[in-house]
Amino acid sequence: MSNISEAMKAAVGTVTGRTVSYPVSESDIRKWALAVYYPGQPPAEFIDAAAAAKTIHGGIVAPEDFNPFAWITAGHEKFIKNAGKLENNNPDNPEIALGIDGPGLKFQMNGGMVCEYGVRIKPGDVITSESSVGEYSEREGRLGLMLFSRGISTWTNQNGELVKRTTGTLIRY
Amino acid sequence: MPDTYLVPEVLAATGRAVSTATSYPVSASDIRKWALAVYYPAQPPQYFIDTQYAPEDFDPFAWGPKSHESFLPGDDSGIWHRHGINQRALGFPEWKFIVSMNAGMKVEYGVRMQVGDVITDVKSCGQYTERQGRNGLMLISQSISTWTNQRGELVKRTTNSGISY
Amino acid sequence: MNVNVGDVVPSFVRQTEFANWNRYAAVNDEFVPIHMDDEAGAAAGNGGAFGMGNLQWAYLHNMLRDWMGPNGTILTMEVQFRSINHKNQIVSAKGVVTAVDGDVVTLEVWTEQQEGTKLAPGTATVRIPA
Repeated sequence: MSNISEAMKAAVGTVTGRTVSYPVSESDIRKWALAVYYPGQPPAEFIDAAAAAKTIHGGIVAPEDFNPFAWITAGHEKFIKNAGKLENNNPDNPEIALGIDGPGLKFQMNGGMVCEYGVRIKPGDVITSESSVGEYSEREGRLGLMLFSRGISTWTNQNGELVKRTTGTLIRY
Repeated sequence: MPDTYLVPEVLAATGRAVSTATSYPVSASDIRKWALAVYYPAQPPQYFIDTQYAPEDFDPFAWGPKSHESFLPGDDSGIWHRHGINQRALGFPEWKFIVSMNAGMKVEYGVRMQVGDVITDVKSCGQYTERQGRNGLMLISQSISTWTNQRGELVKRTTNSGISY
Repeated sequence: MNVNVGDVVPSFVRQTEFANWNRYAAVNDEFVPIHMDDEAGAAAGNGGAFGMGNLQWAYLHNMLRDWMGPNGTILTMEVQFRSINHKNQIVSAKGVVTAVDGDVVTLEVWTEQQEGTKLAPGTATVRIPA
């Protein structure tokens, strides 16, 4: 018995959306660092070009937790045209958003989020974020057969280098 | 309450430059976010999103200047007096005011601020006057903030008035 | 940088309140009523306004970064948001080294409030500078 349908298996790897940032400015980086270190002073590599030049980065870089998509983006595309209508807290929402039938499980919980970092974000970078459907898996647990589904957000820079990959897991049973 | 606030130190201060600050370069992102904030929840005009120039009310010193310097000997406040003037460092008597309030501002605009501009602010003392009010003698102080860009063009001159009693 | 299993990373500590939250809201465009307004936070069943999970996330990064210096690299991080960050709590981001493999170090990381209750526990891997 499995809750993973052929349509769900076929959906793995589908790119569902793409967002492109405006170029990251030194000002964005400086203000981000000032906010997250407040009321302390941020490290010099975020605000002082001369100090940053002496690090392995050779210049100012953004904190890993920096968000280049805050406030406004240069563009956003959604690739799934036949998506159904999402309902608040419906456990089938991940599949409804893909325009396929969900497994119809009753309960869901957040299974956490993992971030992997690649190259650092630097001033002038244009970051692209692609959302895609991750692997499905299932196993027998305390609560019966548990379905694990994953959403992946992949950030790359204008050179195609990986900046960050975030994988979120949803648990349904 | 003194008989007059207009003692020689106060009268001599008018016209005196007290401090300067220099901004980081204005970025396109700064202009966009400012416009999004002040038009919220509506969309700002497209020319701000395209960052042709900054809104008149844009503040390139938000989150702190790149550098600042006081011209007053003994001004040990150590922080940038963004909106005020250190009257103690000007040698003013230490009056015990019950109320100090912002009484208004007047701005003259020059050229627009654009991406890449580095703005210099010079603060100076304006006119000091006094007036009898319901609550006794009031001191009306003006401070003048003059912004120029990297080409020396006037961007904005702001006159702030404060009332203290 | 010499690192051993069991090493404790110096904590990154902040009293969390609107002064921090509003600044984070400003840079991240995270103007959500439950983080800005005590009434909205109370209506959501949390007693009052409370802090952003994203800011806990940032504090964990700050803690690792302050420890390694600018030449360290954060490779991965994973956290769960378990407890609400209430206003005026003293939040400490902490870390303990659990494994060392060459220059790649694995840590247990978490934020906790002043009484030691964990808010956001997780794990991280970093590459320490030479």
